[in-house]
Amino acid sequence: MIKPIQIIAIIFAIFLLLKAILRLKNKKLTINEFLFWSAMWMLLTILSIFPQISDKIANFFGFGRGLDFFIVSSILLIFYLIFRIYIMLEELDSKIVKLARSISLKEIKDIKSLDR
Amino acid sequence: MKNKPKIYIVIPAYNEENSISGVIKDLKKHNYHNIIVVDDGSTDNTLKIARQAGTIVVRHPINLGQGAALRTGMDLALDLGVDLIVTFDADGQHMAKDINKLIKPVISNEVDIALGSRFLDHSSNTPWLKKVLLKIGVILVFLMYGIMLSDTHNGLKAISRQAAQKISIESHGMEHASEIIGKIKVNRIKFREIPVTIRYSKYSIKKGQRISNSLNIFIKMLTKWFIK
Repeated sequence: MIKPIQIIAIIFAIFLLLKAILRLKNKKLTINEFLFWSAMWMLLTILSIFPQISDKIANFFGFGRGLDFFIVSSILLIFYLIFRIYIMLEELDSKIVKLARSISLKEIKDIKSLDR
Repeated sequence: MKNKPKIYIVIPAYNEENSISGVIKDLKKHNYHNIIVVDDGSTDNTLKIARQAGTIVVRHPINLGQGAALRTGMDLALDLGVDLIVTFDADGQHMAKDINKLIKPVISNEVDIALGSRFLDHSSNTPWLKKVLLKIGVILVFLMYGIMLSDTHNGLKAISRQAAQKISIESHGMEHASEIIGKIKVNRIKFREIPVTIRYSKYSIKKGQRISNSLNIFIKMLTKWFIK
């Protein structure tokens, strides 16, 4: 018996897959990015049609249910992404400071060279 | 160090229009005329006042933090061929008369950095809560770098040219204080603490580090330590 959530997930995945193809056509995605995203959405489609597979994967990793596995791995992924964003922000902050400082020093050197 | 070393006083300033002219006057009165004020994107008249007082003023287009301001000032001083840099706070809590004893061991090449400390004598009337927080800072710095100081967060420092080149401050905010000590350790720079007086006026307490900010500095110190 197919559940409504499965149909929604399938439509959602196909929609995003089409978007990925479109973005590839417009050269907004590189071929590698396209392969990654299309694999993700195809995986979602397959898992929606055969939810038993996710249970099998979960069992393999020692989880009782597919959903538990999904939630735990999602949280881990989110932690990782937050960490990456934190590093990125720090780097961005450093770049801004570097830029602003170089502007300041250039300004004062220009003034000093005019004085001479 | 040569007989007449070129000394630059570096003052990071952020919205200090009420105190900056007094600080500059005090320095000039004690014959320190090479003064670099780094205006860290102030929104008040700090820039104008510092310029009128006849100092070299570098302006950050936006507020970057005290660490970044110190670095800009030190870079400029190095560029101007400095032999000895003295970092000095803009809020009027340091005394120009302390500079002489601070720079002495650096000029005589005994050490490369002289760190001001308010806890080596009893001339500073440090409020008790401030004392507790500063001592926590001391312990943290000891745990992180294994260097036991009496006062880790004192803005009054004398740094030789060679040491300044080794210490290029990377922290933008207030964590620079512990970063400098870390770099002293890594580069094996010779240092000594010198007693200085911190003047706690209503103004400098208001302008100084807020208590809540200590936690912020602490978290930044820890994350820097873990990630790098």
